[in-house]
Amino acid sequence: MPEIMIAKTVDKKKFADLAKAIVSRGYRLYGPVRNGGEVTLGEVGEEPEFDFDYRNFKMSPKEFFLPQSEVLCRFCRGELAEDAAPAPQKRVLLGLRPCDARAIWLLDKVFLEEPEDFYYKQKRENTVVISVACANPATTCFCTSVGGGPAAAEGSDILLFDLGEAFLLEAVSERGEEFLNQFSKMTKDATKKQVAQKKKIAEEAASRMEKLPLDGVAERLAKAFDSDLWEAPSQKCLGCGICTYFCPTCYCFDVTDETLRENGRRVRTWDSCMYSPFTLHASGHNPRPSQKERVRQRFMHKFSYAVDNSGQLFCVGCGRCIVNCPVNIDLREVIAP
Amino acid sequence: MSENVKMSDDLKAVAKKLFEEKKIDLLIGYEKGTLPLRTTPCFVTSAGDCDRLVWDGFCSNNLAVYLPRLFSREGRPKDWRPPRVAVVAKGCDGRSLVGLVKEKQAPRDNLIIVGVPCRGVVDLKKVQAALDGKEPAGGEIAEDGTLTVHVDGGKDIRLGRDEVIFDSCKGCPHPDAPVCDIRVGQELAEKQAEADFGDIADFEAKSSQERWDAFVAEISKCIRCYACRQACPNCYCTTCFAEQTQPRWIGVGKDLTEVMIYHLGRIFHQAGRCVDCGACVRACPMDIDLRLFTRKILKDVKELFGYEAGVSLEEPPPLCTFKMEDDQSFITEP
Amino acid sequence: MTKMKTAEKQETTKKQEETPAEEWQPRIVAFLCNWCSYAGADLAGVSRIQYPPNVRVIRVPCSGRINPLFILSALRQGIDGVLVSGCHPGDCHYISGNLVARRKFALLKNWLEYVGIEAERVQFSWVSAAEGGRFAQILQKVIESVKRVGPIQKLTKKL
Repeated sequence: MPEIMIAKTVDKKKFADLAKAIVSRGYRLYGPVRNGGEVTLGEVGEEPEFDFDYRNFKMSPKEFFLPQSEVLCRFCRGELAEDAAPAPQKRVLLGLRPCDARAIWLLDKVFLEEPEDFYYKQKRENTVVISVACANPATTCFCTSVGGGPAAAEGSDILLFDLGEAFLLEAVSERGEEFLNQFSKMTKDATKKQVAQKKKIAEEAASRMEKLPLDGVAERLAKAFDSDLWEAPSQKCLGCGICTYFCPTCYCFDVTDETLRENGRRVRTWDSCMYSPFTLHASGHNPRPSQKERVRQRFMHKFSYAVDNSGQLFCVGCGRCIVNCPVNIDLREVIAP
Repeated sequence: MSENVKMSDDLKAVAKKLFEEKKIDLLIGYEKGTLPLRTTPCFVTSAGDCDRLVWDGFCSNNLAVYLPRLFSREGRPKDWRPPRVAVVAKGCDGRSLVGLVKEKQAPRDNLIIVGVPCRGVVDLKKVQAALDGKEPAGGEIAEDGTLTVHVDGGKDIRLGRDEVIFDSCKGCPHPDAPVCDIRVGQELAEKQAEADFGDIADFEAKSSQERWDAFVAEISKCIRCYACRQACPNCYCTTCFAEQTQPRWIGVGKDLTEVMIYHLGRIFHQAGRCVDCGACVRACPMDIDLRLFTRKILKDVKELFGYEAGVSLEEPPPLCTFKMEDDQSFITEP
Repeated sequence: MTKMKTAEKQETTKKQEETPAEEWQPRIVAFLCNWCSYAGADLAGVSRIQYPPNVRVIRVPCSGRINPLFILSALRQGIDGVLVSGCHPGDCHYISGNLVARRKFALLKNWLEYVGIEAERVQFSWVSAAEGGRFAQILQKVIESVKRVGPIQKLTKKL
């Protein structure tokens, strides 16, 4: 767990000024944007208002690090074009939940370890993540069962707590500390009382979440490859891909070349293991021929193979797959036994 | 409420009898879901298991979607025999089943259609909008269709039937499966009014640019997850044109042009086959108003060829046949 | 098929790039059925009937062969207008290919117009093998109507 380095507070009324100061320092500021009944992470307007009273963003923020469609390079008549993938302007992502931030921390293990992914890295290095701790988890949240928590710090640079009259900003990484120091004139040091208050918020939120029996799930799953527990969910599964697209840690992608007359580009796009062509060989053979193999693969990747590869479960307990599945396949039901 | 319970009990009884008389190997129905106000598809293989079945206004999924893969011979051993399957079918699902039988995706002799009376299915997105951020803890549907939602940490909310059912259920012309082997509960009143395409006509009356802008606005929401395609019982192609590589019609990814062509192609493939069950709209996680487009095809098929999909097992599909006097006002003359 | 079209289009692109100052010329693809419309077009050529060179012809065995994706694919690749031409109803070499196609075309034309694609961009005609002059007239009409709506902006793939 990263140590908490510095903690500052900002009056809620002054927060918009801080936001403007962030923008004037050359950062692009992304925050919660309301659209009808939904909240997404979007660029904040000129007169921002900050309302962190939502469960979570509809879509996960992985789009900011692994865009759904990303141009890797361009070419014309056999020659590569210069600088097809420029680094983004430095930016601040404000309003992520700690589960989504943890997902970014997990994706770092895939894309920043050897071999390093150039495109991911240049986005990651130019981003400051300010997560907002949860006070009100949804009934479909279960971050505490997968190694996270409503105030967990992994993946974040700064953790923000709503103390009522003020926000508490806690730097939990070097980048976070550096960032907060740029605005030290606009923030006050947090008092001991405020620090205690935020601890209480976090504990209360954590206690409200149902704890799933996931201890040792990786080992248990490793033995369940041939089990018939995969029958029920795979019979229902439509193979629609919604779970993978909404999941903050799903990172599988496809690389294709698109050409039009003498121009072309190489594009990386999200792909989903729930689709049949995902493992279709050029010979026509498909090692995962039915939905059963694909459903099994998804759960085992997240809860067993990932542990083998990186030591961590690749689920952060955000609940999006449960909420969005058109046939109500519930991860909690599948995995818990 | 009591009627729903009775209906569920009747359904369970019918299901048990089918297993006891050894008439089926599998029954596809609905059971209670893990989330409030949800049911989930359920695959029952024995009489003892039938108690899981429910039937109420939360049963939204179109179960016909599971048939093509159940009856597909691909990858099966030579001596494989297709299973005998019973499917719980609302009106729209029943019409999908007729379509699948006509297209030889399900053998009529192996299929037992269990018709259930449908008064419309609850649209959870509308319920969510009414809840304004709060979470539902559960709910019931009264006999007149009113939904009472119990709110997590708050008062109950009551929503009238018309406020809360799917748009595709409003004015549904076929609440009962038109071809049916067993009917649970009494058949609803005579076929309701004809499908009303007034909103499509209104859209047609707009200018070309307005229509394009509306098309762009809806399709821009699309994340190309293919949920619409996977939920649609008619989309059973082994390789969808959108993923074909020989030739590659469209690239992968979220480029607006590609996404548009995907929708234009997929919906056009439904011409003469779509029964407006609404499964695509329900599955879509981005709330795209697909029916604004699918129903244009339905309207044209009705007006140009006088055909309605899913109602008759005998009528040939409109794009497999022709009449000498078919409309050709669209032909360019010098 | 798609590769052939792309190769042919490269030539026209070059020409357009070399003469930017001149009036924009539409690029039109015509799918002609082998037995009637293609023969009709050939007759126009043999009879030295003049018509503008904006059209590239793709021969298909029958108008019933036309997959709506051909038309969508052409628009996607930047073609300004598509013409599909077949035998007159009742004269199809394969008896009923054009009759079933007629239903498909009616639906497709309405469909593309509904979503806002200009009606002039996708057109259908019946031309027989003896109608060389008529073929040229129809082509003239199609080219002029596409010129009126201008270069295609909608549904084109941009890299």
